[in-house]
Amino acid sequence: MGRIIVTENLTKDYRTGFRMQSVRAIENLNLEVEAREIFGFLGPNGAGKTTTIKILVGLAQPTSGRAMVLGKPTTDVTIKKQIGFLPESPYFYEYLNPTEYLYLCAQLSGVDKDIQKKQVEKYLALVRLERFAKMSIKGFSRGMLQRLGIAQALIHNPEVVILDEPMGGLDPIGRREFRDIILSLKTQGKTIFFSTHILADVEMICDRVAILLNGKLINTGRLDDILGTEIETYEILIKGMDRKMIKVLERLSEKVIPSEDKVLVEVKSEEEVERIMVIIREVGAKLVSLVPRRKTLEDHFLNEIKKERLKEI
Amino acid sequence: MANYSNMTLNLFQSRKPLGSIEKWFLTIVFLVISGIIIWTIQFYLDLSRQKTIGTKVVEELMYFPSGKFLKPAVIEYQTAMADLVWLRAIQYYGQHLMTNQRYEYLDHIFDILSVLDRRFTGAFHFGSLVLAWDARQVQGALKLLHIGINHNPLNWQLCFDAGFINYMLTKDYVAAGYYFEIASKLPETWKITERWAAFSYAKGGATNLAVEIWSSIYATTENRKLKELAERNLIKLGIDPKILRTQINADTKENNNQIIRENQRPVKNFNRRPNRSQIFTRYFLVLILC
Amino acid sequence: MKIAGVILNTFREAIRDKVFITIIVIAILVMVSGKIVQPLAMGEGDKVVKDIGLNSITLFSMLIAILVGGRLVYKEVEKRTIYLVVSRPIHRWKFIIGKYLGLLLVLFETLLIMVCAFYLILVLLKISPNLNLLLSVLLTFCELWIVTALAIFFSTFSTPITSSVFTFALYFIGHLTRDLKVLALMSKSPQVKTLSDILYYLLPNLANFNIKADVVHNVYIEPKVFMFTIIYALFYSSIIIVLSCLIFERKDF
Repeated sequence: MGRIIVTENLTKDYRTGFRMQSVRAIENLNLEVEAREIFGFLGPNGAGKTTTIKILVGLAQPTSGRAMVLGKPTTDVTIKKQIGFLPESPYFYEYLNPTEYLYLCAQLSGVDKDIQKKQVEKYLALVRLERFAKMSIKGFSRGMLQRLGIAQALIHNPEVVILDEPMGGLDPIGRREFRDIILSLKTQGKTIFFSTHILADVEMICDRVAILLNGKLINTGRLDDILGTEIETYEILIKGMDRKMIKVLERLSEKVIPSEDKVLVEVKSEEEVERIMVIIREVGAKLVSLVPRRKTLEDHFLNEIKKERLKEI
Repeated sequence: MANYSNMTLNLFQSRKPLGSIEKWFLTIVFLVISGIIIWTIQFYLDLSRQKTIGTKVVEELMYFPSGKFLKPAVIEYQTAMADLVWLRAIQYYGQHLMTNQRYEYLDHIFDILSVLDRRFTGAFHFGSLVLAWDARQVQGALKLLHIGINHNPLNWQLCFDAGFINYMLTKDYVAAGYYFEIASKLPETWKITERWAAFSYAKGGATNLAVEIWSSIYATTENRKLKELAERNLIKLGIDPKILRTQINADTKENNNQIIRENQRPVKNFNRRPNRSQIFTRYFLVLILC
Repeated sequence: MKIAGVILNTFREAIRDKVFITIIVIAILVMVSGKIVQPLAMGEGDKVVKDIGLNSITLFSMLIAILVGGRLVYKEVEKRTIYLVVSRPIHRWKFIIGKYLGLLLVLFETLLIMVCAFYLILVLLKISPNLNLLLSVLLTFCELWIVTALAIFFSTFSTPITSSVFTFALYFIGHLTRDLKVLALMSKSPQVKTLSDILYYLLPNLANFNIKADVVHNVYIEPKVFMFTIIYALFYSSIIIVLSCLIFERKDF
């Protein structure tokens, strides 16, 4: 299938203030999203993620460069039939109920009149809003609005789904449901592009990520490539260690965190793990768990940002 | 002092919270009492100022802007403004009729009306009569009627009023006759107007004009009593009815010949005003087209 | 048809707005007040009742057009409900036209309700309801095409209050354009003449649509003049809507 989303030297300037001063939101952004992948778009607040997404869905126009979706420029209205978009904190017409709203979305997206009813019912069921089908949107909670948002993004069965902070403000159950929906979309052959602050979700479901800072792309690629497969630390949880032995462990390891009856020990190498295991056997303590940890996305993310900020200074 | 304030605080704190019915009851009582107080205060204030609504209307009319300013200011709501001014005028006239019979601002009001709605013939009619008879502003009344006649040339009433005022007040009988004559030729006019024109001309010394009208009446009317009246007046003006009858017969023969000639040659009247059904057919077609 | 979706949605939004219902109720109450005024008008009661009716219909429908139209597009941008419309495969100009036609549909319904109430009042007060009054209402509706188009035009780039003020200002000036023509004729300076002429033809000549005095006094209205007035409204409002579409097309959200 090839590249679904492509940006080439994409730049966007905004004019603000009385004197119409130019503010650069994104600069020479070169991005590629492959077919059938879940692509995470990361960056701190004000990095330019939402601006990029707005250009991709046609809400804004680039100052220079170009953005293409499915081989067509984003200014082409017809391509929007293949794009499903969920903005950050979506707003709906409060005087409508979900059924009316989804019918409107289906109609505006060009869904055939004969299958509109089926689609509306299907997606109301998918997001578990059938019970509230005739209730005014005005009374919806944050989670319900987000679910309605994903339903309207999928109502016309698009090939590409673009989500801006889809899990913002959701509780853990909501976030779990959203992750499941995104994974199921991938199995259906759709391409998902989403921006988020919640790095744990990205680590769980994304195939590739891109990190944006101050409108510039810092890093992009597969998670394994970015984070590496190397194990950074080993976390050993031990039960039944006395205070004297804990002091010994503190000399032999990176970090020791005692709690009530357990102690967590962090070491860097396999040899150190072996040494700790021998000590456990000798003193007759109990090994509760041994967890190898590689570099987290959060660590990498914060490192990259620190590097960029140092460059600026 | 501290003890008293503590006691008051304790008193409020020890009270049970109010139920919903009690809250509603207190609210209604408060609203009713406030309403009564407001009404009483307003009544007292009105009494102390000793001004009536009528006097207020007078003051308002004093500061009413001229029609020339008001017309553009109210843009397309001129007819509504004219109606408002009309109602005010009636109140003003009625109030002064019952009290001092002084109508200082009446001409100003009808001047405004004449600018706001030039087709408000009722206002011209009433205004001219009250200006002439009650306010004794005869020239003002005639000026008002001139404006009305200029903008409503087919309205017989205004011409009649002008004739009547000239006849009764200015004693300009020829002018009265002139207006009566015009009124007599307008649609839906009083039949008597023609005779009034003749009387006025005769009284004003315009004998020829009077003779012309009485001759026309004599020649055209089929009413015996009217014919006799015309004959009597012609005699008064020195016209021999026998000569008149001969002339009429000769004219009638000539007229009949002309009618025969005209009927043989069909003539299209392009200036003929379309009738109501034709008007509505045209509008219906326009609406369909739109 | 996608534009039908926008029209229907705009219609629903306005109908469910309490302001709309309130204005209609007030308009009908004002018309009913004709019953109180009729005996006070000393023989001109019929004229006064008809004037109140026609003027109320005009005034309140203009209020709806200016107040609702002035915030129609801006509200969508401010509340960001526009994101989920513009991101769909619908041309932006269709969105603007859909909004415009939706509001016109609302105004049409408003006029229909008020005209029915007006005619009912006339019948109850035993005043003969001649069909000429409908011609005045029809031209009022045509005037609304222009005023609504102006309100939506301003709404594409300014706040609701500013839009309403500008629209009202143009509505007011539109009824005084004949004075500009008189100024052009009276002026000795060729520059003033030219400028007045330009402004006269540039600004909307809304006085063309005011035939209330004529219909109340049963004056004959030329069908040709009537038709040309409607065509004028059609073209003028189209120009304004096209300009609105052009502005909206380049807008970033």
